Amino acid sequence: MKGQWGKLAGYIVGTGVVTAAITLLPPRIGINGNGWLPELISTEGGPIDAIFWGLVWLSIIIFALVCGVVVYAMVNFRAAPGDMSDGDHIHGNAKMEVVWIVIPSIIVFVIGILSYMVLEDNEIGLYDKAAAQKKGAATMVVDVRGFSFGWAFRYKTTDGKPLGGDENAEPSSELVLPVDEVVRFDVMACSGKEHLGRIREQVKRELAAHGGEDEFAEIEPGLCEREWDLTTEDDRAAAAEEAAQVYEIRQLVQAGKDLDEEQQALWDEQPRFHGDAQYIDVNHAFWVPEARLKIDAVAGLRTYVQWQPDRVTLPEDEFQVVCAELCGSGHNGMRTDMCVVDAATFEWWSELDEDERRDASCVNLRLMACLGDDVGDRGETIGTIAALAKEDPDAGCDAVKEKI
Amino acid sequence: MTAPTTTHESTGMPMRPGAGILGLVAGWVLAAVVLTLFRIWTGGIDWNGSSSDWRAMLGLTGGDFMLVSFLGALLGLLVAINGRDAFRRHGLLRALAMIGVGYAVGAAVTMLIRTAFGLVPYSDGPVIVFGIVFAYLFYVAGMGGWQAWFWYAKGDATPEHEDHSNHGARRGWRDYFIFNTDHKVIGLQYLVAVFFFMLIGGALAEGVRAELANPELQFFADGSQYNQAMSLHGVIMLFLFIIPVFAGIANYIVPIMLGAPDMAYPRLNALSFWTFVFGGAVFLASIPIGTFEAGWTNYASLSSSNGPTEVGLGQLMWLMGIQLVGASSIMTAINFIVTIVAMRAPGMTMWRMPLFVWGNLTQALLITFGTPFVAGSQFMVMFDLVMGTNFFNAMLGGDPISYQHIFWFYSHPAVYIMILPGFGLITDVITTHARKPAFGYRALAISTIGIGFLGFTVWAHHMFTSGMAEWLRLPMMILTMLIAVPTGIKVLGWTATLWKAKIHMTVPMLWALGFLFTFTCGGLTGVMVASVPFDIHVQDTYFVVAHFHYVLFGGSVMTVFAGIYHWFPKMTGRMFDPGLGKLHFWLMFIGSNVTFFPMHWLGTLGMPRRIADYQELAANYPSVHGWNAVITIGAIMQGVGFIVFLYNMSTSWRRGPLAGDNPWRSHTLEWQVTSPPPLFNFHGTPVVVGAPYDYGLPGARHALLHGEPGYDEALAEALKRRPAQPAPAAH
Amino acid sequence: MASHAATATDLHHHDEEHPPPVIWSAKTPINLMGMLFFIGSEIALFGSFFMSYFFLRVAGEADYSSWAQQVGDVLPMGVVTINSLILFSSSVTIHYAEIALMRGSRGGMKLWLALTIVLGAVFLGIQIMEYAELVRHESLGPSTSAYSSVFFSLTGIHGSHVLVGLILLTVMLVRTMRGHYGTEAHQHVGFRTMSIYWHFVDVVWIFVFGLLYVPGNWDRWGSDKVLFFGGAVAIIFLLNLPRLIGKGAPKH
Repeated sequence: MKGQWGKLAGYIVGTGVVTAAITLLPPRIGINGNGWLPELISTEGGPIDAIFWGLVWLSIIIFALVCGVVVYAMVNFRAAPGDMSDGDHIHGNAKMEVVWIVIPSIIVFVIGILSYMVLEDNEIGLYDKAAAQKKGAATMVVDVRGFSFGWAFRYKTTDGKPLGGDENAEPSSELVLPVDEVVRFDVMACSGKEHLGRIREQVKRELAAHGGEDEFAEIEPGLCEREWDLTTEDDRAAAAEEAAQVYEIRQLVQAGKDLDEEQQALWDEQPRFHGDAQYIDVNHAFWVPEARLKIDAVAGLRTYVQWQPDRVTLPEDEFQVVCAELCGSGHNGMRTDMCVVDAATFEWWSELDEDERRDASCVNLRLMACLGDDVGDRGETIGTIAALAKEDPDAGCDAVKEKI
Repeated sequence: MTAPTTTHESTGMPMRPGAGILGLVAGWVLAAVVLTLFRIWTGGIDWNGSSSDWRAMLGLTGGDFMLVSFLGALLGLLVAINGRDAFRRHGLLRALAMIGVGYAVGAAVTMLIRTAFGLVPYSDGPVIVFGIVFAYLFYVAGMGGWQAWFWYAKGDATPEHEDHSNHGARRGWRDYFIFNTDHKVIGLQYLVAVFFFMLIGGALAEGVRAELANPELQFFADGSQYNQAMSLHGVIMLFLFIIPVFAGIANYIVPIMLGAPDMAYPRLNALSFWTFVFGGAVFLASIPIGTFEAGWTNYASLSSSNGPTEVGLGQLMWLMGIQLVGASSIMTAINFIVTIVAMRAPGMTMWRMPLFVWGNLTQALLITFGTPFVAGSQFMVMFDLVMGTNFFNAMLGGDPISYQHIFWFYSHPAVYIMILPGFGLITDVITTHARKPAFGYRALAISTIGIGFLGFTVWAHHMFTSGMAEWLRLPMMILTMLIAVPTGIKVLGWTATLWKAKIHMTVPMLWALGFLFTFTCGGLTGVMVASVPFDIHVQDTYFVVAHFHYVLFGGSVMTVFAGIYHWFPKMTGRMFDPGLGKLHFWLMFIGSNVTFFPMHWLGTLGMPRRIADYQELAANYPSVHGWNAVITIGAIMQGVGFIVFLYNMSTSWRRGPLAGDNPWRSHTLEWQVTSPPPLFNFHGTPVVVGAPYDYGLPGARHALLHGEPGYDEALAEALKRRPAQPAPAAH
Repeated sequence: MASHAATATDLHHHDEEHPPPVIWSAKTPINLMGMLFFIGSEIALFGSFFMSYFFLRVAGEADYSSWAQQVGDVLPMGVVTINSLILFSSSVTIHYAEIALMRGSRGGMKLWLALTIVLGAVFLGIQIMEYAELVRHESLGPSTSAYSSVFFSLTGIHGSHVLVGLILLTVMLVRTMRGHYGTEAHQHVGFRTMSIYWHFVDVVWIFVFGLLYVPGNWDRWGSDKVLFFGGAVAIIFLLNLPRLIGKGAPKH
């Protein structure tokens, strides 16, 4: 009997080693060697990764415990060919069941509490307004708008004042963040006229099918043309009025009745009147895998997430903002570049106007990060880098340093 | 056994291939002509069109043309084969014809009502909805499904109830195509139908994998088409395979396990099956007109507003299909509950029921109280689409998040609906093939109920990133993790049952052991994704895809195959080819692990689910491409395995060696009768005298059949414990 | 009582064409049991719409009572109150029909059953007129707002249940005319099953009425409130009256 338990322990350890090898080794080999997790650029991601690895090891151990026994039984309790006898008549073991209830309960409570502690730490001041002044709470805000199929970002202080001071500045279509600052993202799906985004996609596809020109090429993608939410009574009233208008006009058109001038104008210029009365956008999800945090973008509802970029992105860090929630035919393409820059660069960047920002794209900003503090005049440098990147799309740090 | 007394003229009629082809073509042409006439009538034809293609001008190219002509051709074929009098009887043929009639009536009624209210007569939404409703009602009428109830309503006697002419497969395969009330026939009808659906769902999965093997789009034309294939794969596998496959197995096995002659409501049983088939057909019929593309979860407002492409019609077909399949599911569930509560043989106490019955009972309870929620959520989506309501329209005060709450309130229990019968089934398989009693029978039964109960309290763990109330996350996380406890008891039970057992490595046992590995893996990743901070990272990524495929494929489907191989000899009386069975197992087991394990790595690395193309991601992380290629190889292995399975089943059913009544030497009731069982399962009610899995106890019996020594005494003893008998069904 | 009617000797008599008699393992007849579970799943269906109502009202930011007031502007609360009482009183009539059946009074049964159908039909008719009134006068259609969606869906689904109930009640009336049903247990299971369904439909209306019409109209309800609660008390009294005076359904 003694030897049996020793052998069983051997099986369990063996199963554990094999499981750990299968789980951990393949993502380290050859072209598949990117590992389990992508790079990390947020402070919040550290504890999340720790939780993840803890769970992985715990899973490997439990898997080995259970399956080691199964493998042992498969090898040692096989019926010989022609053996028609039965196994032992064992009905159960109450003590074992109790142990098997108590230990997993303790384990899951521990995991639960640890997870919650990480969650609390990552969300200081996010939902609890009283903690908004504490260390670790957000010091700036990015308004994120998802639409089919793209993203738009506006940068604000925690009081809601736009950075760069221009209320009507065009939103940026790429996410640029200052390093070491806790950023809160106020996320929402676009609504109203942003429906244009999806119409644009549809027309694009139709044109592509017939080999035609892309008539939307001139429209800058990634614009949130109108921002609304339903927090005030006036907003709700306006929204209701507009929806009623759409409904009425569609009814008239369906019934083949004549429209008056105003209605006709609305009908002609607003494609959404032709479709369904519901023209709000669908759900998206705002996700930067390298930051480990995501949140859905929902029409009519502001959702929040916050994280602190902990290093500047370099040319090889081609990180992107990704839509993680199925949003239709262009879901897979709903990505945009993101980059993290140092505080001074961000301050300079946030005051650029639309045309100037064209050169200051994430690709170029990452290249500029190679120079560290020796950037000189940022406006000039970025122009040089833009030219360089145009010439040589694969340009890296060396090329930039050489050029400047 | 009395020989069949009546031979219908047409049943003896030989197949006439020439006439069949003629009928097919004639039906096709006729359907095209009718559709063209309809188009002319409604002014849908552009006579001055610039198109040089005459077929496009007449509108003979669209999905509706494909549907109509398919129906026409099918009818023509059947008429040619079956002869003139085919429509005089209830049956599939008449039902097919009635579908067309019903749709026309439904459309006409809708248009009349709309005219009466001063609206434009024709509108896609209402016409399709009511068209399908009427088509369904007429179709069941064509099957003869309403007949008995109609007679009952009139107050006439219901002859069917007495003569059992629609019961059992006494006239061969044709009896599987009528409104048959025999639970064994219905079980096989379900099984054949769901494996047909699985074939389609599997083909779609292979399509998805073909697309994802390499970055960029190459297999599908655009993201929309990919989304359709992906959505349909999910829906078919969940609603047309996993859930009904257990209804099929349980339909065949549970009444016999209980010692009952049939289900409690045989006609309702038949109605559920034919409703299910119609619902499935509605799903499939949406393919040619462009099916829905919102994923199986059908989240509003992607589903409730017009998407980037006009998905309205396919979306409506899905909504109608889900209502029908859901209704069928509820009918079956109520049937099972009542059967299990009221029709257990004398001596069959709750604690003597095989665990498959326990699993089934819990599943049925979950379906009864859960499925109406998914029906409700889909009603809301339908109202939003057809009536212009604003349940999920944030612009007018609607709440897109509420869809997710209502949907997941059902759909999380649905996960257990899909696996609890499998848990029970696997216990039956393991105890029989390991020759040992179930370790902790009562703990296994109670944990089944426990999982079912907890299942209703954890729905919001699907919504950690949805923007719902943030305080909901902590309780949902803890409760979700707590489900690991009853599940752990089950794993303990199965593992400990193997200890000191006599394991026979039969094909069903292989599947059961394979299940232990893959399901344990799926369960552990389940605890991982329950942890909120980690879930926020992997929500909506391939990690989740890996997790639920491990649970659904590694869990449910493995148990399904274990059950199919376990009961195949009982259902057909013949033995499958064990060599092919093992080949099937290894192809599927290795294939599924090669397919689903790398998905964990993809997910944590940042690959979102439901994407048609991962070009930009692969540019940054090349291993995304590598793993996707590996996954596709695994998917092909599984496809080959499934073909091996179909071949094995179809050939063994006809030509396999006779299996005998109890090839596995099992104790439970279904193995004590002949294979396949007699018309009413038992020649006289059996009496249950002991536990179901008393292996290793010399001379232990679970039940005594009528006429066995000791039967009368045991029956008299058992009858003492019976409650006062209720009134028999009224007439 | 047909207890243990199927004894061991009966079980020996069978043939291939008929199933052996079932020895039930539950006291409740299966028809009734099925109906109870069906009602359970119906509660869940209504529950899903009430859940939507809950999320819109509790989690949403808009104010439900303003919508209810709009409804109240168009529909006099008195009409709604009386309509509710009409539906509730049909519970009394079907209960009386059941008692008449149990006591073997065919005439009473027909009368009460017919009255139930009339009351149900009147309720449904007034409901449809309410719809027409809402849509016509104030353009308060299902698509006006999220609340209007919930309002029309819940009342509509309830109405469709009333309609189905009316059809089944008519079937029962026809069968009663043809001399079906009787005082024996197995002769009235179907009737009892249906009357449970009808009570269920009435009970659901309490929630629909209380949640959809009353909020925002509490003050306007005024004297009709007295009518409503007085009527409710009267109905509860009437439901129990036969038992109080010893004329309830005979016990089996």
